[in-house]
Amino acid sequence: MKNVFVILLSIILLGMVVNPRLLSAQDPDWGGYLLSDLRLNAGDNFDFTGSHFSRAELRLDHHAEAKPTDRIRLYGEGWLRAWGFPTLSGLNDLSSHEKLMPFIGELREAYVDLYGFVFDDLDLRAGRQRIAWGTAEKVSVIDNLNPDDLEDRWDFGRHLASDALKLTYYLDILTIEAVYIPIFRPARFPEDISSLMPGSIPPLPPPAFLNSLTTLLTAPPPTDPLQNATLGSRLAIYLFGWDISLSYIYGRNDFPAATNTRATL
Amino acid sequence: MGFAVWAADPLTGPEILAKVDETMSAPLDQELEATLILIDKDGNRKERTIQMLQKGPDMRLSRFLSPADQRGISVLSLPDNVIYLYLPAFKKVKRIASHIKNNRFAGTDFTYDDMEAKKLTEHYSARLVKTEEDRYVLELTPLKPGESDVSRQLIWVRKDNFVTVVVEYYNKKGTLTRKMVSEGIEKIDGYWVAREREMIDLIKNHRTKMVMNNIKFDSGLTDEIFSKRYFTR
Repeated sequence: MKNVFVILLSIILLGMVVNPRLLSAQDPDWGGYLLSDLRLNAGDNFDFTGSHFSRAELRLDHHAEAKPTDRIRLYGEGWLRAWGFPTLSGLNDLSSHEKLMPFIGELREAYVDLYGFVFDDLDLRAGRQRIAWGTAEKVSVIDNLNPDDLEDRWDFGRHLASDALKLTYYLDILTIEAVYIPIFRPARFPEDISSLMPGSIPPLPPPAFLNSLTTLLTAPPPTDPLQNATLGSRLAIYLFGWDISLSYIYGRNDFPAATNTRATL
Repeated sequence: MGFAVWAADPLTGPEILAKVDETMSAPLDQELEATLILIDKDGNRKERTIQMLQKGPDMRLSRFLSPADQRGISVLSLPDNVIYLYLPAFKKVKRIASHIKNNRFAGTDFTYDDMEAKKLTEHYSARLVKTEEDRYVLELTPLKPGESDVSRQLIWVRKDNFVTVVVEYYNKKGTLTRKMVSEGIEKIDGYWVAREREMIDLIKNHRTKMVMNNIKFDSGLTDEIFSKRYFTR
């Protein structure tokens, strides 16, 4: 179901690219940026002989937007990223494009807005979307619907978008939102997890009396809609010069939690 | 002739300010595109474009059209001193608290307070300082002094059409910090408008020139446009 949904949106967005006039009376709006991010870790023991590059990214952001009518808006945003460093361990790796020039493509957002859906005051947003609750720019305690994207610790507060349905009802000074996210996705961690939680991941090998120490990660089966679903609702009101909101989320924490430790002697 | 001079001068400060409000809010609504040219102390220039929609005296929506990294940043100004900021990069609508309305708007020399549509008579008391050949000079002091870093403004108002041509902003120490000059004043569709406004930060020696284009009046903008719902579209 989820794949059908994403494929459908991709076709719509591709349609905008190939033939904008088919979908839009107006020209679609394009935008984007190019980001080059090469970081040098100049720590206490820095010298020019060590391997101190900590990050290499060349990111092409591209977004497209079209409004075929006053009541429909289509939006999509993607990242094309040349990512990381060459990882070579043998002669054959020199013929591997993936190892020489790592590359990632990400569909950050792709959704359709239907304004005045069923009722004049009801809007529907369907597709991969960022749902940012709260007003703080980076970190908000109620911004929990989308999983955290902790890939870059210097961009703390970034989130991954979720494939979701969002209904928003506007009633004068009152705004009511309801969100349904059918598939659970956990947070994305940095490649070097110890950079995120340096205190909690011991760098030492397991004690000698243990044959193995492994971490198993379990997630709800992707085919089980009851275990996967995240539901959220939010009520926001402007009252006596104050913006007040109340929200409730039923779902899973996007961070893994230890529930069981098993050692093999 | 003598009668005409006598008839024009008895206007008091509050009366002149009321006429300024009347001129500014004469159109039912207006929409325009403006080019913002930011000029630093070395003469380096950056350009931005912005779309501005206004209805009545106190509802205004300003939205950046370019550059790409600022496109979509919007400010919604509503009655009762309410200002919202939409940052598309964060997908969030923020209320601008009164204590940061004096902050600069998106790197320009205009503040959030400058971007707000409002009736001056509801926010300032006015005193006629002097009368020049073709202008009145008023001193404006905020009715709620705690809400602004600006302790007083001196404004030069044209006698013939009550358009403000120069504004000087003084901080709480009495220092002149910014100055706005309006030029290219003309009548479009029966309404007076300034084609160019230049805000000069005299402390940082930085200027922002706003050049207005595609000005349209009374095109029937609806109230719905000036809502958080439309704001984020």
